[in-house]
Amino acid sequence: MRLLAPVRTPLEAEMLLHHGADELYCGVTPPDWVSKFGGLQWLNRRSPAGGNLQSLEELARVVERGAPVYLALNSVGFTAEQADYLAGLAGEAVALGVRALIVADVGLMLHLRKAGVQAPFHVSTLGSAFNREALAFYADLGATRVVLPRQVTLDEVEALAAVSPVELEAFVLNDGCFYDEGSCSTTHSLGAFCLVPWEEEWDLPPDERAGLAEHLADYRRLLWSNDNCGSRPSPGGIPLGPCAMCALDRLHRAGVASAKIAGREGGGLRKIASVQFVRACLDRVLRGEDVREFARATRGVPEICDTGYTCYFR
Amino acid sequence: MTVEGGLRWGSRAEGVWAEALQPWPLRRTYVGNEFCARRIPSAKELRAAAEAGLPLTFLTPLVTDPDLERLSGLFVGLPTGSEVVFQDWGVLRRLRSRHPHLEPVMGRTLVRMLRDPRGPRPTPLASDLALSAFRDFLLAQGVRRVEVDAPRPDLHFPDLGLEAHLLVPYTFVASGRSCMIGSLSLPAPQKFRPGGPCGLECRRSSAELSAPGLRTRLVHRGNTALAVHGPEGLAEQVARGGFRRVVYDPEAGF
Repeated sequence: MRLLAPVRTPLEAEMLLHHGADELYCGVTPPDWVSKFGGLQWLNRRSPAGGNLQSLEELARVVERGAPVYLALNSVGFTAEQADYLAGLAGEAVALGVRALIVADVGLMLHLRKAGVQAPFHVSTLGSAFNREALAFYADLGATRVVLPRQVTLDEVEALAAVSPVELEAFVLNDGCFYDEGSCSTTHSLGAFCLVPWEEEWDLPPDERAGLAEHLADYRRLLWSNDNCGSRPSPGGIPLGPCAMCALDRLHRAGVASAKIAGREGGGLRKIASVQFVRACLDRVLRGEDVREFARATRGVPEICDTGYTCYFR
Repeated sequence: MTVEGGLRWGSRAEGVWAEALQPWPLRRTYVGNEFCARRIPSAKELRAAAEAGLPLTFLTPLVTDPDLERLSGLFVGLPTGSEVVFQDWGVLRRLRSRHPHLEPVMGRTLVRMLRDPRGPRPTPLASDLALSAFRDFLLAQGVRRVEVDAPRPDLHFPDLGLEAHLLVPYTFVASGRSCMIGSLSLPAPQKFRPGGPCGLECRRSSAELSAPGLRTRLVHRGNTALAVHGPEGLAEQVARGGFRRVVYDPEAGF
């Protein structure tokens, strides 16, 4: 199992590889994307300024580090003009040495192939591959890896890995979502939809209303956990959010190829702390050691771990 | 061009909707759920829906392997020519390989476009259906019908070689395997688990959501947030998009 880390600057790439990342993923949004298509339709799932390299020159500097680099083109709902732009961008990125394209939209995969882009596809988590037939479907389209949805269970990962025709990648740290990302039609350019503090009016029958206030408080606790516990680190500096360290050994034994740290838009120090933490846990797993107590002690927030709401695999 | 009507089994249009849907004669019965595998109907329910006398359209959600096998078992019993609306590419693959007697219809969640009920509508109005490679692929897969819940003025479906069904009164916004209301009765550590148990609270409750900046009414039914629309301008939308069917589904399967 390899450790996959997010980058948004060439300097981050150098730092994260130094601290133990095996492979990198990133987005690149050249300035003319925004000038041509505006700021609402993002090129990938992160904002042009906040979570992306700014030019192909920066991408070249990331690729020069020698580790495998995967390029995210994982927004959905492109126009034909936008898809043409992405085909050109993808072709240039592949020429620079990008190893695979992370794509969510079946239409874009087909468009890229039609335009002559031959790089392998990694199907984004937005591909919502929850079953073996979906994995086979994406393999038929030329995918070599599928990023599993956040909402698969560990038992389901093991069952899928046993029959998958493609490599599997699983989220292991940071940034939860209440909804399935592939089943979400909203944009983070307006803020995360699932974190909006709604006023809710439930029309429950009277005999079921008693527990509603407490239930909604639990729901808000889950959202807070998904939002990296209010975007704060542990006392030891580790990001406090969704975490799969206690499941890392089972993911490894299942044959999951890549352990993904989320958070392209995060700061460099957060990414380094994330890579150091996952590296330390993964090395223990690879040596056949138990990782649960180590991870729990390193996070240093047993009261949060005990809620279960920060566990990627509950 | 004939436009037909579709209706959720067990539902009826009332008030302004009864009037708005009048031009389109009822030709299909819809059954099933597009969003939640816990709400996949039983074989008995499917048989009862078929006995309504109209051709059947079976709505299916994203599924895990066990639920895919459950669906496959149900597909076997569907009359030839029944439609299966898929939201999961794996379901399409299964339909093509094992159930060629059924017609696959691409579901609304696979029509990729922004449907964010906050802020302005995106410009230009984008969808993967705008890509010819995608449309050619669908036709090659035997998919000539798509279900649409957010009609866009830039998409005239007959020009795209597709037959489109317009779903009312909801536009799908977001869904997932964690259910806000479905774990109401569970202890805190067991709440909101993907695929976890639920008390089917969605059968008897829904929520209205409000917040500053919303440009439409928003509800949560089961595991799914849905924007709600009235029938204003419906006939114009149907004509402009070249829709072949208008489907009224007042509970969205919940």
